[in-house]
Amino acid sequence: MSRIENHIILGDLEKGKEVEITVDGKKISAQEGEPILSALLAAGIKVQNISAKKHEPRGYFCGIGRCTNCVMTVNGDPNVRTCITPVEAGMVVETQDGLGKWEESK
Amino acid sequence: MLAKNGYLDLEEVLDIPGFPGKETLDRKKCVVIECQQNIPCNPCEAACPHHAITVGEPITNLPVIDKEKCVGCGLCVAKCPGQAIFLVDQSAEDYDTVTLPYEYYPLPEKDQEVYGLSRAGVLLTKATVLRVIMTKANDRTAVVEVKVPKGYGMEVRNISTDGRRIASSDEPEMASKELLAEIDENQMYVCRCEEITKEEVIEAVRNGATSVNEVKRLLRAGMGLCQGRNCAKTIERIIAQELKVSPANVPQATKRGPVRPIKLTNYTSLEIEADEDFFEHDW
Repeated sequence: MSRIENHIILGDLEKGKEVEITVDGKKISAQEGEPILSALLAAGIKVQNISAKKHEPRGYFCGIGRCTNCVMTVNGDPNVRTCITPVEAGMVVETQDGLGKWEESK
Repeated sequence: MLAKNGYLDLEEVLDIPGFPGKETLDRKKCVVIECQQNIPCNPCEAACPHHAITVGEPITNLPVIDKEKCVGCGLCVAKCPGQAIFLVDQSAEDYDTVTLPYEYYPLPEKDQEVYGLSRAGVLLTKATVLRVIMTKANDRTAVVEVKVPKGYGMEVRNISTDGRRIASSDEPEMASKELLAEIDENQMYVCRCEEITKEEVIEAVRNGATSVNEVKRLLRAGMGLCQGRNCAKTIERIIAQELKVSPANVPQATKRGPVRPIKLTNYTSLEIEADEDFFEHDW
């Protein structure tokens, strides 16, 4: 999926500072301050977590921090809503299995 | 049909109060409001300086136009959030004009030849741009007036400047029968966090649950990460459907703060002493 760079209503995409984040061990480029989800979608990553009961892959649904379908493990914290959490340089993002584990927290 | 395929048919438009009638359009440029859904919305009423558009009370009324008061100025066209307002002029002998809202790049230019599209987005005819209005008051929505061949005034409802975003005129491709057979509304998730399907909720209601709280206690719906933000209203309606009562009569889920998920550290770092009043919420 590509970014919308030029739109009559949304305006022009502001070029932020390019940073690198790690997603499941792979490095992708992102813009500082944009939602983590935005960087993931721009890199073509659509699965955010594996559901807890039926173990099905899940992607984002509402995109506004309401539905918690896009939660991932970010810097060791599980259940971080990626659609409203801003990117910081060097973030480590992992696809979450179920509700995640707090033991991974540093 | 709007409910079936997402756009109005011409016959439906002729029946709604926003249509001024063919006689008016044959006489002068007049507004056509293709608004058929009773949603709570009335910017069109405020947009008209000549008070030709009335929504009134309740706000869910469909806009009614006073065809005599309308002067065809087009100030309302960009104001409709649903882009349902058009100006149509069928008074000329050999052509019609349509004024429509347009929110894509590239914007057309005056005298440019563009593709005239139907309500379904299908290519109907070539159209010529008469004027493009891009004012501050219109807040980034362009208002484009195009000249179309005679008879297309009530047909052309969108344009394409570059040949993109044009729907195929073939019947839309339907999913295969096998695939359709697999789609079962009862298997759809009502509560995604706890992965509870519509079927399970219906079963709970048939087993005696009459409120959202009871369904929650039986199934855990609303106890997942999102805390019922998405499923509460849906469950309310399923219960209402099953019990054949109005959704307003189904006891709602208990609402508790925080309204939005926040980190516990936001609480622990508060530098305030909580007194009794502090805990008295009225959600």
